[in-house]
Amino acid sequence: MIRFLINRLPSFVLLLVVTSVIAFALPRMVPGDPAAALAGSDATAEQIEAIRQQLDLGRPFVVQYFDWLGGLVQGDLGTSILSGRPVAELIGDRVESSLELTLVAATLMIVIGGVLGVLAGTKQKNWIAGLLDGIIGLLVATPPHVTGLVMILIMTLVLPYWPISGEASLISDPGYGFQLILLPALALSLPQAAAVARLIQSNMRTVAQMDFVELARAKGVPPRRIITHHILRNSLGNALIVIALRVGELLSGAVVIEAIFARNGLGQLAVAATQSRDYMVVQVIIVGAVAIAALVNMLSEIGLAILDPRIRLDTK
Amino acid sequence: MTDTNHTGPNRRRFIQGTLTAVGALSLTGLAGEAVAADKPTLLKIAQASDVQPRAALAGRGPNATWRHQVFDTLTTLDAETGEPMPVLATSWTISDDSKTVVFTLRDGVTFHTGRAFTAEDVIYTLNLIADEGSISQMASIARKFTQVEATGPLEVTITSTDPIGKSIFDVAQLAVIVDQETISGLEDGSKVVGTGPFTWEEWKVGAMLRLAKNPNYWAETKPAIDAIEISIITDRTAHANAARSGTQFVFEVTPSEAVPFEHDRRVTLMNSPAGLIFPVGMNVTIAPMDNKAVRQAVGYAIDRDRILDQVFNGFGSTSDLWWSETEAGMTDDLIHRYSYDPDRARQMIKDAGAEGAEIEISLPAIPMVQAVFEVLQYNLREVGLVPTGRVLNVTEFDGLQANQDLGAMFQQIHGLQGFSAATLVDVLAAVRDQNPSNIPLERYRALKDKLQSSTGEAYTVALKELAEYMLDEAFSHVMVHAPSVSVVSTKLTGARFNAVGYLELVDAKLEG
Repeated sequence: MIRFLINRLPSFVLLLVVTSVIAFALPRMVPGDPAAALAGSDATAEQIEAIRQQLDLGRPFVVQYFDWLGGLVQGDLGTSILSGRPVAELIGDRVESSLELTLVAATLMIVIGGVLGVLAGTKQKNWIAGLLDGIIGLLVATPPHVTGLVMILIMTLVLPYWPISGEASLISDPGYGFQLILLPALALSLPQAAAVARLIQSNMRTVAQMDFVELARAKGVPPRRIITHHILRNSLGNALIVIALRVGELLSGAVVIEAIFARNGLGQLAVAATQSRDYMVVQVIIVGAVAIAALVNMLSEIGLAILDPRIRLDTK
Repeated sequence: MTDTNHTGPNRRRFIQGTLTAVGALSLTGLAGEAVAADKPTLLKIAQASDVQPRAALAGRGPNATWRHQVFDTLTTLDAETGEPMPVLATSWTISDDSKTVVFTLRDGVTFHTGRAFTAEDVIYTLNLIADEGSISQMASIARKFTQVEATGPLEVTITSTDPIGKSIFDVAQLAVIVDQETISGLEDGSKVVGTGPFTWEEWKVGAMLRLAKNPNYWAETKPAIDAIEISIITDRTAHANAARSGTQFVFEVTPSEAVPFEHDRRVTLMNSPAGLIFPVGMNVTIAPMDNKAVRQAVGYAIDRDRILDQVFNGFGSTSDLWWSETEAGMTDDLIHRYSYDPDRARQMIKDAGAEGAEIEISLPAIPMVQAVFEVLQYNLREVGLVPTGRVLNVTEFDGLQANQDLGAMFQQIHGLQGFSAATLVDVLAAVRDQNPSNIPLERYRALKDKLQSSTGEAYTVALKELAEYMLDEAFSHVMVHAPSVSVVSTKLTGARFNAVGYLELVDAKLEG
């Protein structure tokens, strides 16, 4: 595994460097500048220019880029142009919210997706299979923000006192935090869970037709054992990769859900920073998101190798 | 000399004024959540944009909910009369030529750090506003002060070469007195110190601001609320969700969003006499807007009543003026100079040879402005012009506005209502000297100077003369004056918005 990681290191570093260039350049290509945002809507050109000078925004882009990159390498993420706070502090304030939401949503995705997928994969051509197919299809087709709004409407009618807006830490206030996170996590996870379920269902049906399963049946292996030890195990490889990719989507999908449920996660920070042209925040979030996605992808490959003995990480 | 002396509990007297919410400021709301009598009372406020401590000395909507909890000003404008009322200044004298103003300061006031407030703090604050890097809308006025000096430990004398008797109170309204020892803390909100009834405790950028009661507040009446929590909820759907769930009452509404709350017994709607104005401007150097007749025709083409009904659900009023219609000498002829007359507009455009002219209208991506555009473009099409919209990100729009580069026609949105006309003509982007209409300055500036150097009856005459000139030149047509609308829980009493839309909570109480 270590050799695998060493082999991957150069491409990982290259990916981050390329990302840093794009993350630095892209926000600056969008019209509007942070000095104008800071100066306010009544500002004169002179006031905007004075702020630009104060913030050193007039320096060549190349100089600004290498200053930022140098700081990044040393662990200094820079300072937010708009708030004057260190970017690390802004991200630190939001990371718990995003992590909690992603972790709860990922757990729900795996549990709901796994249960639905296995049930749908084992039931053959009866009304239950049809019902499961319908549920999965509906969930796949419904985007998280629609699911979220429907849930809010339902909860308002059924449980009007259930808190549906805001957030509380799961660590410091687990009871209230759970109440507040349940709906956004469900809204976020259901479409992803349905996609995972569909894949597991499809894989299980394919594997169930394979010779080694027929052989097991012929040898008199109990049906439950065939499902758990033969079909399911051999169906989960692709699902694991998909789950890893879907975790990344949970992070990005959280932007809308955070807004609807008034949660202050990284997604909302990214949106606010983009709108106000706070480059320093935007570029760090982009680089961070790509780094996390790459790491998750690497972890999924390791997981796949553990599940499937035919795959060797060290094989070139 | 004019001597104004106030000795009573001044702040309280002001706060008993009319409930108003004004709008250079974003529509701001608040929610009250009462708790048992033996527990600390926490007032929860919701707003759409994050607070901006860095811009504490400027007029910014997102600061409306907290600025006057943490800071005090020398004086404040009465919401009904527009007259200055004492806060940190107990009295003042204005010289006969209106070029010298002497403020007597309140004794026994301390900053949240415990340091005593003195005349030096006033001088420091006014110098900050006049500073080259200042983003205060009052910077250009403060720079006219030739001398700001302490003529006693609790006395400040301000002199100017021009009369400042009117505009000094606009500056004072916006100039919250800051603590020079902790001024760097304003930059990142790490330490925000004032003399106000609440102290700045914790700010989580983009998420939440928490204030706590200042037990050493100078006023006889101490704050009744123990803490204030301002939540930043950027999404309007989330506001609605918060209202439904009761975790946070929703009080920030646009006029159209206010309608469902009109019959809700749990809340009251607070309308302000001031608020926002929505002008449409034209660049007088770009054809066909270089023709005054075409610009005037645009004025007659706009169906202001329809905009008021359709976009603002009747909240607000139609007015052609850039300032309050309660300013001295403003007659109905001035206020409604351009009544809706599409036939006349069509004929004027035809006579000017502008029929069929394609006009691009730049506007910021603000829903209310975009909604106004829909009516505007229909009206212009009706009279023979061919308008198209160019919707710009707000930051980009602001940059182009500052550079006077918005094209032939543009829609704007301005707050700062509640300040005097003499001040507004130099701070509103639509009508200041560096305006995107590029109106020639010679006569315009002379009329402004005349207004700003006048007092009494001469001021009234000068304002009418300036209004006549601006309406005749027709480089900017105000379409609607819309109030800020706030939805306030009936559990909350004693909350007030001052004349320019800042929330005052020193007398606020939570019940039930």
